[in-house]
Amino acid sequence: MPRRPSWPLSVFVDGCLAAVTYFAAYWLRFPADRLGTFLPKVWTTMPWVVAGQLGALAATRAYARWPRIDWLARVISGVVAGTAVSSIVIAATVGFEGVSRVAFVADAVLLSIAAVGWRGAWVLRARARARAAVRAASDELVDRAEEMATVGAVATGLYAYRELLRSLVVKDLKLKYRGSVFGFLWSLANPLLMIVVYTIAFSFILRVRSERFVYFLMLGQLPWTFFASSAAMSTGALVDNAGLLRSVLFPRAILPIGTALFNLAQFLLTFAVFLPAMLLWYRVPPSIPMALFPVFLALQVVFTIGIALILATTTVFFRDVRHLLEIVLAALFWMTPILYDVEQVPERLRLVISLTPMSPFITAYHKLFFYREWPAGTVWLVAVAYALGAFIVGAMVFLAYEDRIMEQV
Amino acid sequence: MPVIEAQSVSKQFQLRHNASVELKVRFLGFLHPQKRQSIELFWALKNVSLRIDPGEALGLVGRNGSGKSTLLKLIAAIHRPTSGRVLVARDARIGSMIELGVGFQPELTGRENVFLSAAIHGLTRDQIETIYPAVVAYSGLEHFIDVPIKNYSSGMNMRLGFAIAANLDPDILLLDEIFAVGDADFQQRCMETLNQFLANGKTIIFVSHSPSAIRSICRRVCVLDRGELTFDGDMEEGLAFYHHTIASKADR
Repeated sequence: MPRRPSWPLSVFVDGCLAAVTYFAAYWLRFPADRLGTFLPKVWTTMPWVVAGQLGALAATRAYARWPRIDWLARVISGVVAGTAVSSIVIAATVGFEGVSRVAFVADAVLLSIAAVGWRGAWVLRARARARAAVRAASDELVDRAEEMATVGAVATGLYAYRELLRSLVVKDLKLKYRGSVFGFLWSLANPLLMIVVYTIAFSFILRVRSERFVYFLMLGQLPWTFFASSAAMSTGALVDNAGLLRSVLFPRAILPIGTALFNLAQFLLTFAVFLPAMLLWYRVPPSIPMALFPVFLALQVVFTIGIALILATTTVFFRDVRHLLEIVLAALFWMTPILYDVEQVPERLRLVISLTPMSPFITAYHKLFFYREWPAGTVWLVAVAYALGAFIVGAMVFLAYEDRIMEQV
Repeated sequence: MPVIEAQSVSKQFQLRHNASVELKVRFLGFLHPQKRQSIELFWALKNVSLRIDPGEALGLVGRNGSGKSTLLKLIAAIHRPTSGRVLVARDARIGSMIELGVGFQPELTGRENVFLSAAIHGLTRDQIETIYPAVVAYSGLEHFIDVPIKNYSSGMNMRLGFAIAANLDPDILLLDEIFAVGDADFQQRCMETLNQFLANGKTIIFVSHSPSAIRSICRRVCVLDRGELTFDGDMEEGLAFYHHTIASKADR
């Protein structure tokens, strides 16, 4: 089994995905009633866009027989360059009449995720097969390092080490507030203070009048904190446990996954206090869409675990990630619909805002609890794509670099 | 049927001499060739083949940096060989005492650390509950078990670490220089435990610079020199060979 997909297969899959994501980009951009007027242009421009993207992928050597280690980065740059080139070509030939510029941005994002995602899944499957072959060959004696290096092995390892996962989460919860007078109350005081500050700033100083602002803010702020602190903590998950990694064998993915689950535990504890309080205070009656909350939370957890794996691995090689992440998170906070509603964003920017990493999840929570409606299909699409994409890439990056992590930490 | 088999194993590490990936260093290196970061490829182990049978106690000797710890880490599957293969019996539980008490959290109490440390070694909650009293009794730290580890002395840390490892009931025990700390009484108890292990048919690989410690446990000795296996055989002959090589190196 080759370690990378052959080029005819890659071109075929990429071509199909490029067509699908170009259409999906328009679907994200326009509501169903307006999509119809754009469809003819979508079909006429699609061949150009797909051809441009495939050409650029070939030009960045994403189809080379032995792509180097920066393979996935090449795929992404190929997609972005291809989208840019084809949008320029379309602008020069037919003009932007009936063609959406923002849709190109969405197309580039979606195709990057799709192209990297399917390659990641392919490589992970190839690994699992190679391991199965090795396993079948030897019966009594086994190569343990080889045995551990697949998604299936990591999954069974996580189950076997579930007590460790639990202990790590409990340890962090214990250590966080040990020695402080208010203890766990800080977990509640922190978001409470944030919400008070933003409410004063927005409702009383800037005088942005909005109904039930505190309730709206809580629904975005708490899930955001879950994501942001998971990301920030995960950068140290491997680097700060170097001694442990070097002396005991255990499924190492447990460390980044543990940070995500620790923050999930914190989120659930605070959310379980705030949500009922808000529902009672604002007299929000329960509704059926609220039952979807566990589904979107599960998607967010999968997404966060993927991001945690990526960040933990890259920090081992580039300590800059920590410093960069602080800035990126600060910028992302304002680019995520937490303090405002996606609907309030000017129409041109709306698509970009709804494509920032945490957007689909927080938009979904707003829909479920604030508007008590079902989330739109586009929100589903982006949430599922982000969760799967981040998870596959995270698993692949972690497994591919696991040996080098052990030598570097 | 061996319990561990190393098939012409080699392990290469990258040593970054100008240990930095900083842009500054790259830029300076661009201007000054002598300030360029040099990556030296270092072979920690070269073509080592070994077969170890169950019930054997193998002493690993060699000077600092000769690859003893690397070999232990390859057997524990912490590192993966650059070439060759390390095979271990499928169901054997490996107890690695490569660094004792390394996963300890200073802020947590002794009790909490026992639970965390045992979980790192893959025990379930019930299994930990079962061995917990034995761990505390073995360590002799009943009085301090609810005190944060940061207040322990290094010897106490060591005792708790060994007590956990000894009660994990491993089939293969990897020991790396673990008797550097600890009083004579504790060392005596360690030796008794190790001999008890051997009597039960377990396998021990023992890295030590102390000939007396090796004499009291091992029958077989392997000598490593700069990553190469230079001797594999009887314990007394091995120790003599090792002393001879050290002496001849010192003469030069």
